[in-house]
Amino acid sequence: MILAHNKTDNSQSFLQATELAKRFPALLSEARKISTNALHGAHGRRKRGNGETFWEFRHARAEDPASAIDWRRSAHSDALFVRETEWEASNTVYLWRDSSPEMNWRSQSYLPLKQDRAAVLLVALSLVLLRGSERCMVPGVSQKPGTGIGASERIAHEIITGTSTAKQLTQHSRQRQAHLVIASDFLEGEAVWKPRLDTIQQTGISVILLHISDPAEETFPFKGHTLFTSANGREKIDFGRAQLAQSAYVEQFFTARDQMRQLAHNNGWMFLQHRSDQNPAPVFLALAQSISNGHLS
Amino acid sequence: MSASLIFSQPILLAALALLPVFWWVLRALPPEPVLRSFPPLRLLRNLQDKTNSPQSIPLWLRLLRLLMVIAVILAASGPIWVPADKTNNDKPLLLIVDDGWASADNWPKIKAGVLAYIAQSEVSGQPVSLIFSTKTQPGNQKIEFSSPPKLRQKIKSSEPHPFAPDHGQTSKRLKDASTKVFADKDLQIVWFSDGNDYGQAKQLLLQLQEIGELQVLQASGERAIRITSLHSKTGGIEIDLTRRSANSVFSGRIFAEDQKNNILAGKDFVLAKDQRQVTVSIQLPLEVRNRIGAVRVQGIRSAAAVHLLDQSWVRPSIGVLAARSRNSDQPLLSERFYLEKALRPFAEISEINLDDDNEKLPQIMVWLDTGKLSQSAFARLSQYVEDGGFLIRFAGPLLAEHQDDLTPVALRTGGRLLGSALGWDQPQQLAEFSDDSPFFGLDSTALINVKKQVLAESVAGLSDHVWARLTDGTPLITSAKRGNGRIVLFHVTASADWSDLPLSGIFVQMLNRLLPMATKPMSEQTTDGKLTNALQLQMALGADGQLRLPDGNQDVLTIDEIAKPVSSSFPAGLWSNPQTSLARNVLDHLNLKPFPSVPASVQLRNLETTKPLQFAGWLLALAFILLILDNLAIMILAGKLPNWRNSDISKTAATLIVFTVIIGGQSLPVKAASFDPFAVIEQTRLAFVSTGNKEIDRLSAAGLTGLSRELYLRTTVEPAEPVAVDLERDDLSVISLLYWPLIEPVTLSEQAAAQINMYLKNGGMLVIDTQDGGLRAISAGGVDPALQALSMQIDIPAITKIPEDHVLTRAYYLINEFPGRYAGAPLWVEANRKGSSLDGVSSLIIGANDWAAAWAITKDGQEMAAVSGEIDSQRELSRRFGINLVMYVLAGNYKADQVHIPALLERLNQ
Repeated sequence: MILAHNKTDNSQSFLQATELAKRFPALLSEARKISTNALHGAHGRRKRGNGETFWEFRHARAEDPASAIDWRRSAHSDALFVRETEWEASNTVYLWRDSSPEMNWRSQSYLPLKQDRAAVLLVALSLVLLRGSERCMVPGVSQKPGTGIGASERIAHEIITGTSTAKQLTQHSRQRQAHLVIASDFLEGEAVWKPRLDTIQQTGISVILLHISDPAEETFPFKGHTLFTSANGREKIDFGRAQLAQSAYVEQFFTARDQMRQLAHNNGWMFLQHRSDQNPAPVFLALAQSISNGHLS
Repeated sequence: MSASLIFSQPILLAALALLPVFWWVLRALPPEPVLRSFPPLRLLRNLQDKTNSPQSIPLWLRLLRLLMVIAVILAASGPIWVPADKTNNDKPLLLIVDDGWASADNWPKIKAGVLAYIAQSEVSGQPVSLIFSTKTQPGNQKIEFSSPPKLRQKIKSSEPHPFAPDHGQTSKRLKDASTKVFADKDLQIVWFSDGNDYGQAKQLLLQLQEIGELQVLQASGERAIRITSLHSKTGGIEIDLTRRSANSVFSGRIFAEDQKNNILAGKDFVLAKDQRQVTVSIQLPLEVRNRIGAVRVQGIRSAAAVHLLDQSWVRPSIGVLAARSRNSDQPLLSERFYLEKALRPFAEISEINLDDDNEKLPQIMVWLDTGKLSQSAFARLSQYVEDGGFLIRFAGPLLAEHQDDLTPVALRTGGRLLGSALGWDQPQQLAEFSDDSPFFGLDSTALINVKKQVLAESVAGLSDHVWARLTDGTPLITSAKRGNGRIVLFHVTASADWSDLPLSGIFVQMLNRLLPMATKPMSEQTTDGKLTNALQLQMALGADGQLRLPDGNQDVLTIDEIAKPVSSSFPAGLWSNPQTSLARNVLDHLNLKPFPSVPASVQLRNLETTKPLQFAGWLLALAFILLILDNLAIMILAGKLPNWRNSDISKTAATLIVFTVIIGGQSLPVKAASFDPFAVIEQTRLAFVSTGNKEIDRLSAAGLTGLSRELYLRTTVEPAEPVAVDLERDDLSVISLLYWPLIEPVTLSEQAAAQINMYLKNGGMLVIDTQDGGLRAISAGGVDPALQALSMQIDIPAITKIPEDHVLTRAYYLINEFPGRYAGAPLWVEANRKGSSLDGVSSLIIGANDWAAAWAITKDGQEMAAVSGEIDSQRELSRRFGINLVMYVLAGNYKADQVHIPALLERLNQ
């Protein structure tokens, strides 16, 4: 029922950023909760290499320096053992949250704003990734990638308060072998998004589309004489009896979403969907799993 | 006629004809769209056309709105339900309304009644005439039948007048009219009488009976209370109240006000059933009494329930004969100085030069020992006394040598000298006053040391004139009537030369007793024509008993008019001229009799029972309710009603409910035990004074509960739950510590005050907490008003700020601050540490730090109130103070003995 920001000029977006910054602690803590609950140590390279986590003991070879020998393990038997750790190489993951005015909306005051939910999921992901020694970046906002858990505050801040446009998204996510998570409601439709995604596809980056929607956008629970306005308030559409439009609208909505899904699958990308009245944990798990398993190994 | 429904504005009913139009408009107007923000607007663009025909208003809502409009139209047309009565409405109607002060209290009822009769006649098409019975302007006297709207206007714009109806004049007007206007008409007459007879009621009654069928309507006289007279007496005033009828009990309150309507004093009175009169006396110090401007019965809107007082009544003016004072170079030793010191609080003192003929002589003249007056002045003064003046004279060396005949008794030449080096006698003191003396009852033990006096010739009948004697029997004050007046002679000087009398308090008291003897109502004083200037109205008294600025239609009041009742030209109020002021009340000089018994053919009915019912208000209320329903309906239709299952509103409501439960639950458990002496004896209990203020009592109980818990945890004192004490009822003797939150002045009954005194004397401890951090004391300029009021009632010993080494600072903890919710206010204890019977334990502790708040805990042990945080760990320190306090109460000066421990140990070693 509440819509705060209708205009997209500079002062308005500054206000919006301030507004977002105010919510930063709450959103960050929510993200932390999800990240710890959902994924605990489920990320690694599954091979030996430089890292901190124990991987295996192996017999010492002639070229191993004496300092590499694990004397404690070796004392159990006659052979000498060397302690190997798991390889933990880092990769860059771009996290992009749609900050268009449409995202700053919720149908009921007890629901989170779509942009908040998107931010929470992305920050939670960034926490997990940084803990796993990946590098995280917000395209168009971050000056440099964040590495290690120490950078988590900065990245979280950039995700929550940063306002990155679609143009910045396509220009800044250009590193090969990198990964990109796009959290948006994709309400602009396939026609707008297809060129953008094509541009991104050319860089060979691997992408996950996270579709965030409000329950009212899916179910259209409106009745009676209703005047609908766009998020910026500039466009108005009058409905004499809104309930009559429901089925047609719902059909349109799902078609549009399926088009986006199709677009993702054509490129071999992941498509995840989330409704803001649902628990964010499952979709986050899927998100995290798909990054660690499907894409990064 | 039977009961009927009448519309006072029937023309407005025509608006009902517009209802079909309204119905059509309602049909045409669709409900307002709901504005919704909806981001996926793009998806809606294609769907727009299908659903664009708006929903129309449902039938039931249209009906509801129609009903609302009907209710408003009906209400506007002013429907009146007139109950059935026995009058016929097929005759011309004559309405007579008493619009004097006695009707003011019932004026709205009278108005409604008149309107109902007018409406009734309008329906039946009979002519109506309306006359008021007060004396009105000549042009307004015509009696004629006029149109109902005109009459309605007339009664609506009329107000009761602050003087009495003139039934004689009314009767005359009727007589004139009966030949012309009412000629050979059979009239129906309704007389809205105020229930009083001003002399000609009987005559009017008979006359009315002749010209038509008469009905008399009177309001019940239970509330028709009049202040019939008011007089001063020693220590206060007495007010006589009368009411018109006495069929039920009436309890009311009477107030004395000053000129600015500030209430000075009040007193409740009760008129029992069948009791018509009561005398109420209000005790007032003279200084306050002097400020009274009016006495008023609370809640009665009538000029008769107000009695105005003028300056002459309250504050006598005293003239001092001007003289060439011998002591003018030493003003502080002059007689004038002592006299003014004594009289200034109670009277206006002015200097009078008798040789100036223009000077008006006040009610009281004082003649100090100024020596001989000029011939003419002396003659004038003698005349003044003869005419009713009051002359107070003081003796002195000059009077002792040259006597005149303006003394109450003959004097011996030469003064009498007592207690001088060569004299035989000691200075004399006052003897007891005899019971016929006006000074009877004053304390005669004051030392006045009369060293010199003038002596009266001992002649037969001397003792009749003596008001005060010395112990040897010689007169000190004598008095005698002279003509209409009186002379009082003090046989000593008004200065301290001859005696210490002018230095003593009894001098003031004596003069205070003398002043009322001289004060007489202005009207009595002026009957002999001494009042030369006419008076002008300063403030007019309205019929409702309120003082207003005059409207300027009044004449100046001359002497001849003073003794007549108030009228439209000379209304009640405060009149004045530069010299004096005069209060005229509506009852002055008015011969008021009960209403004559009516003949059987006349109906006498109570005004209240015939009251017609106007229900426009109810219709408006209905329309308003319908409006609310309509708004709700619109919200439902528009889908704006909040989702109750899961919305903020339901959350808010739930929060509120939970909150209420918590608050309610909180207030319950910390309830103190009710007072039972045995329970207090069985277990130590802290006690607090129940103030009657729920919030404070709750905090006191919670505070002592908190303190009890701390005691239980930290010390061997294990108190049970605290008790609330009602000072008026409960036995204090079993209580060891009594906490008293004193936030406003209290008035204790004598019994309660005595009990507290006994409690303090017998080892109890009273902890008084003004709970304001000392703010009230500061704003009142030093002493808390509540404490001040209390100290008048109980014996508060001398108190002092707590000394640094007081036992209270080390009875359990070592503390040097005594914070509660606040920390800054000083703590006061009894000053005399050795003197009391309690081995130096202070029986009284006074502070302002609101300790109860700092100690208070809920049932769950949560602290209830925040502390000001002026000092570190304020809460803990406040608890420590509480524990020290209880230890001090229970163990007394035990800790104080420990200062001797080193000495004792040393002795043991030896």
